This record gives sequence, C-alpha cells and structure tokens, in this order.
Amino acid sequence: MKDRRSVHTPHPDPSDAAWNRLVAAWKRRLERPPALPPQAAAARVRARLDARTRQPRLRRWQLATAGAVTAAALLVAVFLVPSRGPGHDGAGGEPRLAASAGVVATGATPSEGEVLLWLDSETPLYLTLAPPPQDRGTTRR
Amino acid sequence: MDVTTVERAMEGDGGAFDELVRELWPSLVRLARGVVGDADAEDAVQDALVAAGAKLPALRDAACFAGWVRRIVVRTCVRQARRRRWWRQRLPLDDAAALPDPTAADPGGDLDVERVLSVLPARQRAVLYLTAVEGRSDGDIAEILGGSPATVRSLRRHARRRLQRQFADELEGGLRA
Repeated sequence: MKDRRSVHTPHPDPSDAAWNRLVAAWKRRLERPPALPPQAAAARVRARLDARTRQPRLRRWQLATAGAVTAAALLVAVFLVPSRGPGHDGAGGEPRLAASAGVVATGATPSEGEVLLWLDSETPLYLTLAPPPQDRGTTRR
Repeated sequence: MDVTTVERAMEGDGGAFDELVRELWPSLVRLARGVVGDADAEDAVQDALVAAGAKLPALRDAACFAGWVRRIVVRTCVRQARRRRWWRQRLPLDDAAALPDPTAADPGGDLDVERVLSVLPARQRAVLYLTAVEGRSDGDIAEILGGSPATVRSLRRHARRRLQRQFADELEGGLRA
C-alpha cells in the first residue's frame, strides 16, 4: 500500500520550545493502549453491523404499515363519515344559543292579575291572568 | 495490510472484516485520541468502523482501504466533537462533569495535554495532530479533512494562536498543569 505520509514535516515554529514539549507530551499520551482489546472491538463492530443490516428491512416494513394505516384512515374520514353542517346538533356546527327565558319583572310593579315579563332590557310584556270563558269547558262533542 | 483480506471483506466475508478491525484498532484509536481526546475516541472509532463496514462494498480500490478508513475515522471524530461542543454550549455541564480527567496527566511528564488541547475546535485539533504527530503534508491533511491546503494552513495558524493566547503564561512555564 502506498504510504501517503509526506517527507515534508511542516513543524510550526521550531524555535518554540514550549510547543515542542507539548507535542512530545502529546505523543507520549497517545502511546497508551486502547481500553478495549482489538478482539472485543471487532466483536462489537460486528454486532452493530449485523444490527444495522437487519434494521432497514424492519424500517421499510414499518413505513409501509404506517402508510397503509394512514391511507385507510383518510379514506374513512373522507367517504364514510357523514358530513355535518352548521345546523346539526353534533360537533360539526356552531352550538345554538338556547332560547332566552322571559325575564321576570323586577323594577315595574304589575297590577293584580298581571305578570310582567321583560323580553329585553327595554321591552316589557304584560300578561293578564284571567279564568277561561265559561263556554270553553273540557267537554267535547 | 493484506489486500486479499480487504477484498474478501469487500465481498461480504465478515471474518475478514473482523480481522481488519483487529489489525487497525490500536492505530485508529490512537488517531481518534489525537483528534477528540481519550474520553470519546473508542466510541468514535467504533462508529466509524460500522460506517466503513456498511460502505465497504462500494470501495473501489482495496489497496486504499487503510487510508479510506482513517479518513472516515477523522471525519467521524470531527463531526462528533462539533456536535458535543454545540450541546455543551447550550447545556452547561455540572461541576462534577467539569472536573479534570484523573488519567489526563502526562505519563512521562507533568503536562495536562488534554486540558490544553480541549480549547481547540475539532478541525483545528485534527490539523495539529496530523501535522505535528503524524507529520503529514498540507495536501494530505486537506484530502483527509476535506478542503484545501490553504484551509489547512489557516486552521493550523488559528490553532497555534489560540493556544498561545490562552496558555501564554503556562507556555512560558512549560505548560505545567
């Protein structure tokens, strides 16, 4: 194999003694053997490579399944679920306001036999209570 | 390095690749230590070897295997060091994690080399290592790191200035820890 190292060794500033000491210490530090023996390292790399070669098949399978489920959910949402307009009581439309109940009079005093209802803050409604006419009985012919 | 073993590995022979890993492991760990330091070197080499093993069938020339793997190791180291630096800047380590490595002392002297070199960005440190320890030319280093020889010279100049600026006092005293 071709040795790619160059004869040229561009050492930065050879007069710098501190730099030389640093490089010498660096080289000494690099001489220590690896913590992991070569056999164990090879076994670990092999295990990771094996896991990696298995992984893509699993990933494709997962992607295919996820795509099919998403497509099915979209189809169901678009075609099978009935559309809900705004008048519907379901969640699709604006909730309708409940009919306002009459407001019992607070300020004005109705006369006897009357009931005062306020339709809004400015509109009173007086209801007169009277017995039904005699000819309107409960009998039917 | 036996080219036949490389060719067998390229054809999918797992045993041959294991043999290559066993043979290269010490020198690759040394290389990675030079670029990222002791703590992360062996993990980085493992990652690089896994990547190399996956790409091995695409290698064109079996004779280039050793240089090709070394290039992958250096680039993996630089990438991982950048990522760690990015996270370290955003998630400061607690005091315990910031304590100096007890194994960092120079076995033959009293220089804390790791502490000094840890101030350098990964590419600058890689250039210093390949220049000062391995004695490679700027062209070689440019090919390994990806870039031009001018970039390599610039990175080396910046690295030396930074060390000089940050450790000026210690440099006067011999970089004592």
